[in-house]
Amino acid sequence: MAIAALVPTLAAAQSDIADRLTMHGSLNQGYGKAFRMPTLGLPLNGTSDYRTFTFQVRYKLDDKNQVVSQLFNRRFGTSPLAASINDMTLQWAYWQHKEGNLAVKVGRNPFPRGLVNEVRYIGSVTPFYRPPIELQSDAFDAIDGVVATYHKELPHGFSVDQHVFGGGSEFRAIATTTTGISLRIARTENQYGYQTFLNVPVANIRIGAYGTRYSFRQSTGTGHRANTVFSGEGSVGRVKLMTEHSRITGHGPSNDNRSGYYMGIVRITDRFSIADQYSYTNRKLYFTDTALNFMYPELRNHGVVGIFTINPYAQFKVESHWKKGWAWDSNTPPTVSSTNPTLNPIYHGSYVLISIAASY
Amino acid sequence: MTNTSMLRRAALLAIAALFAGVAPARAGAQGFQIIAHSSVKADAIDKATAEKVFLKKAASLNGGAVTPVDQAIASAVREAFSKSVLGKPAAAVNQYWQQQIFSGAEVPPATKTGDDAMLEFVKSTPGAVGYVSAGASTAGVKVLALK
Repeated sequence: MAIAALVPTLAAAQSDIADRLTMHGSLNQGYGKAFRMPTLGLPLNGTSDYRTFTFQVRYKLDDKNQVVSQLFNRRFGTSPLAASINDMTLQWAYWQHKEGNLAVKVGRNPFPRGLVNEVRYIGSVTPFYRPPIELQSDAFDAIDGVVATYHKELPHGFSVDQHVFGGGSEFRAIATTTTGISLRIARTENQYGYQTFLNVPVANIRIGAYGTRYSFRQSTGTGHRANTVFSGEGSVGRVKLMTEHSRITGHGPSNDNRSGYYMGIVRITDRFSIADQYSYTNRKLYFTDTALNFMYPELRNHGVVGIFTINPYAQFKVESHWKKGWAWDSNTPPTVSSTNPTLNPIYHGSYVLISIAASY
Repeated sequence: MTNTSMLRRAALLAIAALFAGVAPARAGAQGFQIIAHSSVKADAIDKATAEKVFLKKAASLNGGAVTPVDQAIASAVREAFSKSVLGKPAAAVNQYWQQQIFSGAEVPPATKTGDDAMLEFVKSTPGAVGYVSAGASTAGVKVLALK
């Protein structure tokens, strides 16, 4: 009798949990090989130690409140950056409160920066294995702090998505100096800024502007930076175009870094698409910790990818990239002759990457 | 960017655009009926509003809260509904939801497998809005005319 009374209660409790709890995950598993110069964790003899995996759990407290956490596993081949990446990290952990068109997230949040920053590790969303690292760097993938988002419908079908944020973030980079490659791990703090998107009711056009200021703390000292990103995307029928351009300026050390990309994606059939991408970095960096007191480490990257949709949950991709510049995983040291520093000749290289992207 | 690389990229995109031009998307016939719980304050819905509801850009209809429900992604009725109401194949809508999920913004509507399960859920859930195949039973729920 008591058991019979308990069964509907348990069933109701299970149904309640099922309504409140959602789980999602993604896997991006690659095999890649570089030619002439190792790059982005891909060695000359190839590696399959190349993966991103996320597992997201979202619990709905009520219609207005949720808590979200996302675990993150990342393997980055033989990249010097791999030493600074934990095998498993808590990528997100935030509480979200919604009030009409306003949403506020507090904790470790997705970082609204440009078109695809929040989904940079989700291969089923990005055409290539990852968005152009020239724009993303290995930085700003989450923000510890507050993000407020407001959506407003405008006349004639236009709308605006406005994000404002404050907090701090992580930054990792490979620095090439006269003495070799060094890993720079830094934090941005006292960071604040905005990301605005204007949604145009024609051709799915979205135009974005991002601006932020922050202090930049690393082992060699503290600096200050400002960053702007301008973005645009649109699609007509089977063709989608995207472009983003960033500029980071500041001092400590003085820095002027321009980067960006152009991308075109064409859905040839319902199951097969191709994308073409050109990305660049023009970086003017004034060193204070080496004999070389200035440098222009520019980089060009052209990539193409074929994307085959296996089913609604998985894609198979084959991509090839051609790079030239000084940004590689092995050292391409500048030459210092007396007091006149000169750069070595520009290096050319390429890599291929085969990957499976799945998400649910 | 060199002239050669610019030309190479332009040629690639032109070829791709040509393919896109000769292979237009097939328009799907309307093989579905939009259904709603009896509490929903509407007898008809236009495509723009339906799109907002099913993409969770609007949480109410005529002032009443609504909860959208989808059919399984591989089902024919979902494909027909997606192409007709949302203007893109179910796979493209799934892509939209993946972007929403992993940008931390929103999760997709609950999914019901089959017309019977959809009908049962909509019938018993105040505010629910879903869709079933054209010939399926709609007993006990409202059928919203698509304007």
